[in-house]
Amino acid sequence: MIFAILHFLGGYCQVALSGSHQERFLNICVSKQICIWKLIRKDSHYIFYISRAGLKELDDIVAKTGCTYQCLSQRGLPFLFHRYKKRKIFFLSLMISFTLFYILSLFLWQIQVKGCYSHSGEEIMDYLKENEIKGGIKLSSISCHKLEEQIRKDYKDIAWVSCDLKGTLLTVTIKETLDNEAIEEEKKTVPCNLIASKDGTIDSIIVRSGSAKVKKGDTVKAGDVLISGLVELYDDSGQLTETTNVMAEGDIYAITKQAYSDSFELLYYKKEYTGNTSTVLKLLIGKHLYTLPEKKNHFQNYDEKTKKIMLHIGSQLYLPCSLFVTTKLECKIVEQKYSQKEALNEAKSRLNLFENELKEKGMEILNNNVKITCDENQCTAKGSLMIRERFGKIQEIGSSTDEILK
Amino acid sequence: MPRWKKKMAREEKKPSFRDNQKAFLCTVNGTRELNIENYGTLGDFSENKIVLNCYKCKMIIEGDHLRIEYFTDVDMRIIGRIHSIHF
Repeated sequence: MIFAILHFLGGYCQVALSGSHQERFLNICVSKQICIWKLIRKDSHYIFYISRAGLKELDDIVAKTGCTYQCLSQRGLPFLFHRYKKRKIFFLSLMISFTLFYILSLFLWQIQVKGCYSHSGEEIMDYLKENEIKGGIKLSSISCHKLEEQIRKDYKDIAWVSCDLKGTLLTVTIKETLDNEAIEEEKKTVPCNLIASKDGTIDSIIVRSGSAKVKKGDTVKAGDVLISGLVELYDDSGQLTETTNVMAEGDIYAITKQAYSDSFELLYYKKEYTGNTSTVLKLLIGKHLYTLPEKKNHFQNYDEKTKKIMLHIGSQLYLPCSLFVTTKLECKIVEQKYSQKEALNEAKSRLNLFENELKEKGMEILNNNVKITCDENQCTAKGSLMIRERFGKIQEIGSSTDEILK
Repeated sequence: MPRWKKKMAREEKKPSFRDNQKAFLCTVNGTRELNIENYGTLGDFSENKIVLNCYKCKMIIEGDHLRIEYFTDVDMRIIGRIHSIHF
C-alpha cells in the first residue's frame, strides 16, 4: 500500500521490452539499481513497471543491449501535472474554493430552535442575539454548556434545554413546563351565573354546581339566567336561612336558529394556465441580493411563486447564502358565466362548507331551511339552519355571602 | 558539467548491496511465493521456467504462470504455481 502511494507520487510507467538480449537488459537495470516490478513474459516481450526516474536511464541501456522499449502507460502525479499543465487556473480556483469552504466552516451560519410552545422561536432567537449568539460568529467562541445554563437561569418555565453544535448549525431544543401559577389562578372559584348567549330552546340541562332556573323545552332569550350561582339554603321549616354565591357549572344544550345568507355573481373570471413557466434565480449573500441573468419573458398575466433555499452541504454545513427561486406561471384570465345548474351546485357547495365549519365547532345541524334562487346576473342563498349547540356563558356576580338570621 | 560526467558521479555515489562472492539466500513461502536474495543475474524467463545464474551454480525454477513481483539489486520475488526448484 505504502509502495503504491510512493510510486503514485513519484510517477511510474508500464514498459514493453522487445528485441534481442532482453535478459541482459534486465540485468543491467538491476545492476544500476533501477527497481522493476510486476515483470511478466508475453509472447516475445517483457512487460514490467518502472519508476519515472528509472525510465530516464533506459535509453543508455537500450543503446548498449540493442533492445527496444515502448511506454504503454504513464501514471502518477508528475504525469498528471504535465497532462493538465494548461489548466493551472482550474486547479487554482479549486484550491481557492476549498480554502474558502474551510474558512466558512469555522463560523456559525444557521440557528434552529425546536420545542417552542409558549415561547415563540423568534423570542428565543432574539434572546440568543442579545447574548451575542448570531450568524457570523466563530464556532470556537460558542460554549454550549454555558448557553444552556444561561437559558435555564433566565427562563424559569423551561425545564430542559439542549444546545447542539454540529457543522455550522446550532440547534437549541427546549422543553417547557406548565406554568403552575396560571393553573392555581384558574382553579380559584369566582361566583358566577350561566346565562343564555342567544335566543333558543333548551334541549338538555345538567347542573353540577348552582341552581337551575330553566328546564328542558323552555324558550329562553339572550341574557336569561340558566344556572344561578346564588344558592339558597332552607331549614326544616322551609325558611330561608342562608344564601351562598357559587360558581355555576353545568352542561346546557339548546336548539337555536343560525341565519345563513350568501350571494355571488354568475359572471366570473377563471385562470387558465398555459403551461409556460419562467424561472428567476436570486442569490442572497449576507444582506446583498444579486439577481442572476434570466431569460426575458413577455407574460401578460402570471402567478408568481418564490421559494427560499438555504444553501448547505450535507445536513449540518450551512453556508451564509440563500437562493431564491421565483417561478412565474403564465395564465390567461377568461371570462365565464355559470349556468343555472352550475350556479346551484356552487351555492350548495358553499352551504356545505359553512355546515362543515359548524360541525367542526361541535354543533349538530337538525334542519336546513335555506332557499337558493338564481336570476340572470346573481345567485342568492338565504335561510336559516336549526342547530343543536352547547349553550351558556359566564356572568360574574358579587362574592359576598349573605346570612339570613331567623 | 557534461552529461557523462554527471552520470558517472551518480553511479559512484550509489552503494551496492550485492556481494557476488556470496551464495544466494532462498526463502520459499508455500508453493506460490519465492524470495531470493543475492541471486546474481537473470538467465532466462518465461511463464513456465525461470533460470537464475547464481554464485557457482544455476537455479532453475519450474512452474505455471510464473511472474516476477519485483526485481531489485538486493532481492527478487517470484510468484506463481511453483512445481520444482533445482540446481
